[in-house]
Amino acid sequence: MENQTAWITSCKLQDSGYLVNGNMSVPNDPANRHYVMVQEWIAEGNTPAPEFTDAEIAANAQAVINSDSLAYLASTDWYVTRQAETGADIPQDILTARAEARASIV
Amino acid sequence: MSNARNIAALSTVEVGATADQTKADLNAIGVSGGRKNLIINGGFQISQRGTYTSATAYSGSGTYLLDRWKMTVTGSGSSATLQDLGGSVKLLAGSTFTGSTRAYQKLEDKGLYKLLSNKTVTFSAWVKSNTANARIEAWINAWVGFDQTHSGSGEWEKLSATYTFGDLTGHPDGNVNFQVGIDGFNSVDCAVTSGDYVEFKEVQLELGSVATDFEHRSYGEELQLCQRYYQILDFTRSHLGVLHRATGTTAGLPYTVFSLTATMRAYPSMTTSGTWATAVDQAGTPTLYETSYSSVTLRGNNGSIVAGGSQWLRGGFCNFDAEL
Repeated sequence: MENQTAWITSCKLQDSGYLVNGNMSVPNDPANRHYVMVQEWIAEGNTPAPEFTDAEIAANAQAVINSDSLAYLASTDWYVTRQAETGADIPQDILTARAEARASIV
Repeated sequence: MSNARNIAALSTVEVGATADQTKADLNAIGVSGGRKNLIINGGFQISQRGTYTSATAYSGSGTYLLDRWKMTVTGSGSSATLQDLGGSVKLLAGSTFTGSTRAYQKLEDKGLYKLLSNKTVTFSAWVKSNTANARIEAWINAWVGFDQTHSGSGEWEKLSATYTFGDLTGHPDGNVNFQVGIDGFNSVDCAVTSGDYVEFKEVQLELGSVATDFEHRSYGEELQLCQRYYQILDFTRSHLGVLHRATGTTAGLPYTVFSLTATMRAYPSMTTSGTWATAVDQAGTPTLYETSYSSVTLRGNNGSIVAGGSQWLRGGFCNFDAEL
């Protein structure tokens, strides 16, 4: 019988299934023929890769930090505008937090 | 058999023949009502995966090209192509080998097996070939012994075979399938010569013991039937998809739920094709985050966005496959 799994060259875990060959999202459904083939592929001794590599996990975490920091800076920009327009001081805790936010962005 | 002759027979039936005779006569003149053809895309109208008007190679045992038809070519050194000739398809051997090449359609259970259990059906197709190994076949948990072959004359011939099912309860989806191709009796490998071909059209499976005229369905009807097994969401126009990041969450990838065109047989696999736009306001190539039979959640793949934000999804196709 012909090998039904030869077409699978890579397989990663995904939220609710697998990402096969980098382009096919396969759901967890025994009625799905690709899911059945992935299970056969696993039964042959193969192991799906984790959804994210360590580098990707780090990159994703940094992306969240970047996004949160940018959002914080945007939400406190009005202090800077107020200072420029009225001379009112920016509270020290805000200055400190904005500096930390800027530093955290990569 | 002319219609006039059968209509005359009907009048005889009215004065005392059996109900079975009446049904046979009605079948013979093609007036059976309802959706009689249990084969989907038997007229080869639908080809969502691509255009195959030029000869297209297939290999192995699992290639879907035109909708609902799975192509197979087996045998050492085997090769074959399919060509959509507009209403018919042609399988052409590209090498000389011992094996087979076939197109087959797996039937889904979902009540169909209950309908077919212990019933007689007739499978038919118009076939043209230059080999006497061109045949129609059926697999119902085993080869069922159809021995309907083409003469190899190169002319169109209508092949038909009748089969009475047993109890199909418990048979899994796809365990019943019907085929056309170049093959030996009961799929014993046969000699296939480069240049051997089989062309076929108007493939039909119907209840009863008579092969009636092919049931023509509109393109729209046939497409809807096919979309239960394969369908495409088209995002190639600019403003058809938007992915969102919910408010009150952290930054992250955006998602949105899209309704499928037809309820699918199983939770579908998804592949993407085309060129997906990637920019600060565009989500890149999506992945399938979650699925049901009737809707899917697509996730962007172009970096995190802020909570409450959104990105366009544009440029390509999402192809959903729930075939057997």
